[in-house]
Amino acid sequence: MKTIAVLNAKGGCGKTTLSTHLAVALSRSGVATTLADLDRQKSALRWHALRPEGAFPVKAVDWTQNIGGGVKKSARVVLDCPAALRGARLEDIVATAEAVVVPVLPSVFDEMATARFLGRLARIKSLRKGRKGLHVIANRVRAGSRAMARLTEFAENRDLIFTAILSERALYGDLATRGLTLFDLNTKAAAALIEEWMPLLTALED
Amino acid sequence: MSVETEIKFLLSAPVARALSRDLFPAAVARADHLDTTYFDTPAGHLEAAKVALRLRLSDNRITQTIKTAPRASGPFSRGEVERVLSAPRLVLDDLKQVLSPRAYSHVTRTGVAPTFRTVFDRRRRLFRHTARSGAISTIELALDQGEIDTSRASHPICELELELKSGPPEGLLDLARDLQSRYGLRLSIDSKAARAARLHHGAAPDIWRAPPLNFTAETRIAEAYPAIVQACLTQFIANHENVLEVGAPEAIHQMRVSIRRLRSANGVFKPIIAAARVAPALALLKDIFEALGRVRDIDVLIAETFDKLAGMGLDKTQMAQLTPHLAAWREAELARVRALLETGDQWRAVFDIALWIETGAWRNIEDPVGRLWHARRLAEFAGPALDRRYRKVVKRARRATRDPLEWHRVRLDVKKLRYNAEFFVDACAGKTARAFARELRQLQEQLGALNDLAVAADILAAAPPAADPMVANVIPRVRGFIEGAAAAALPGIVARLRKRWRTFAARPTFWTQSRTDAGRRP
Repeated sequence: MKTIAVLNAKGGCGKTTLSTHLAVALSRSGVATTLADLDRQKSALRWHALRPEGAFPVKAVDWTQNIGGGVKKSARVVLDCPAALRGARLEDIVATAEAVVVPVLPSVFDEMATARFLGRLARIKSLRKGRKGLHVIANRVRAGSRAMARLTEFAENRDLIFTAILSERALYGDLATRGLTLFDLNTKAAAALIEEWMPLLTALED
Repeated sequence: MSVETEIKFLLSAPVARALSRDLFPAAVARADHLDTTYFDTPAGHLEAAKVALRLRLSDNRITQTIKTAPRASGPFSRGEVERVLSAPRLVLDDLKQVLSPRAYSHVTRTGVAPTFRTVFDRRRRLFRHTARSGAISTIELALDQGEIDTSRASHPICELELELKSGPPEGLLDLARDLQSRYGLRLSIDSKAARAARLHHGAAPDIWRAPPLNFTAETRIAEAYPAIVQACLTQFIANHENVLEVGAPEAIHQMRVSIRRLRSANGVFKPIIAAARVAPALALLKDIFEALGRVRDIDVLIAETFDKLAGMGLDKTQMAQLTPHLAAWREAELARVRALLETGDQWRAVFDIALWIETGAWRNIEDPVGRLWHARRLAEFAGPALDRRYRKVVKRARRATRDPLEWHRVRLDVKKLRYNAEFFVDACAGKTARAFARELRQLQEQLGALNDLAVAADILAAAPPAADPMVANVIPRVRGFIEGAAAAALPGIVARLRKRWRTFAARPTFWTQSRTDAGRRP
């Protein structure tokens, strides 16, 4: 079993969208996947409740109170973590995971908060020593925009390489309202956007 | 030890002349006279380890070369250790790189002596080939003509070798494919040393069993699938010499096994490979598989089923009368196999499959998400690959009554499950996997007992009419005996089968490690 934690101290940076997409992508790829919701807002569980019958199977578990349980038969577990994680709880979650995924939006506030959060993660030995994968994702970007240029500069200043760069699309929101993800679709438009996710999925599965 | 990537074709004299004219004009080709002596211990330790040790004299230069047999990972790769010597004195130390410590100590203890010699003229040239993908490779083409001399016999050498000097192996395969189809060449992975050793001992060409794959829990699919295919290709090519020259039952069987394993791998990995590209190649190999199957059925009848039938009371005189007729029929079926192999179409299939693997085209499945499997561990795919087939076997066996047809279907499913499971046993290391595989094999053998009698009756029904009236009378009588014996033996066989089935079904499936409840019935 492999556990992937989607983390960032900043709220609204796309952790749940990233978690739900990773869970469905892994399920579509043929491995039994569980989505564990650690956030008291329970957005991932709500999304799961909307999931139509016949969609790629993803099991959802409520880990808001206790971490662990309900994943015995899963090959992959994706953790949708709450914002403002710090201290022992953050360390516990990282200890549970084999890989950590951190989404960051092209906004000055997100960049500042992410910089602080990455500093916190760097104090955890397993991440600092590279024993666990740390993947920073540029989320909801518009190619050629000024915000994107600033985000690129932010990464360059910190020797950071984005594992994947995901475009901003209204489709993500539309799909979430139906309990779906891009990985549930077989359209040309979805296929093009799925390609943006492949570097992250490949890195996680390598 | 370095790896030499080389493709060899055996040539007839007219083809050698055509190649010499077209590919080796005096302006570009260099001519050498090569005099090579091969060495081995008196007990043949090097030959047993499929290692060749030679000293080659050419242009006043002495070169010592040690070569290994093609590796499991590819039919066209051999390990090679080479050094230039100032005097013709062997440096046995180099053998350490290719021999086990035990074999090496045997060699140094007993010493080596010359065993045979090859003397031939080599014309060679470098060739830059651009593959269809645009990849450029430099390949040395060598046309060798001369002879192998042993103390007992001599044999002509007439062959074309293509050795990859630089660039991707894709270029080498692509050029070999072109030359094969243009000149109708016959591929061989038999080295000059192996041929000379055979000649020296008056032995038949080797029979190649499936090489061990040695997968571990860490082996990834990207590494495992090509290795499986390469091993199948090696086994398929290597058994040609025997099938064409001798036609030994075991060589027929092993060539068939190589195709069956290739098709089985294609089936089990189907969701994660782009198999459409090699569908025509596999279809062609299937034709050869079926032709080999007819010879194999007759072999099993003569060598195994007749013994069982004798134990059941079949008249030995009748068997003796029938055997020459069946042997003649086998010869006719073998001639059909050889005719298929002599078309050379299978070599294009081999190169197509080898190129498909080498270029990574096998990975190009449409769904990008499905491609994630290639980076995953082989062991992780065991569940998705085997679980459905296992459940199908369980369901069918639970429902099977005494009807042999139902057990025949169980046998087919068990056979497929066994072939598929074989790829995963090493990767899912541990007692559970090995015990499961052993139990599955025993179950298949038990089911085979039932099938052999049914196949024997079918073979006799399909046998060509005998010219000799006595034999013509014996065929229906033996057939009647087999059908009667099968009906009488059925309850006992089914009872034994059920017992064996219960033992098998009580085993945990190694991919889930959980105990199944499949054994409750039948």
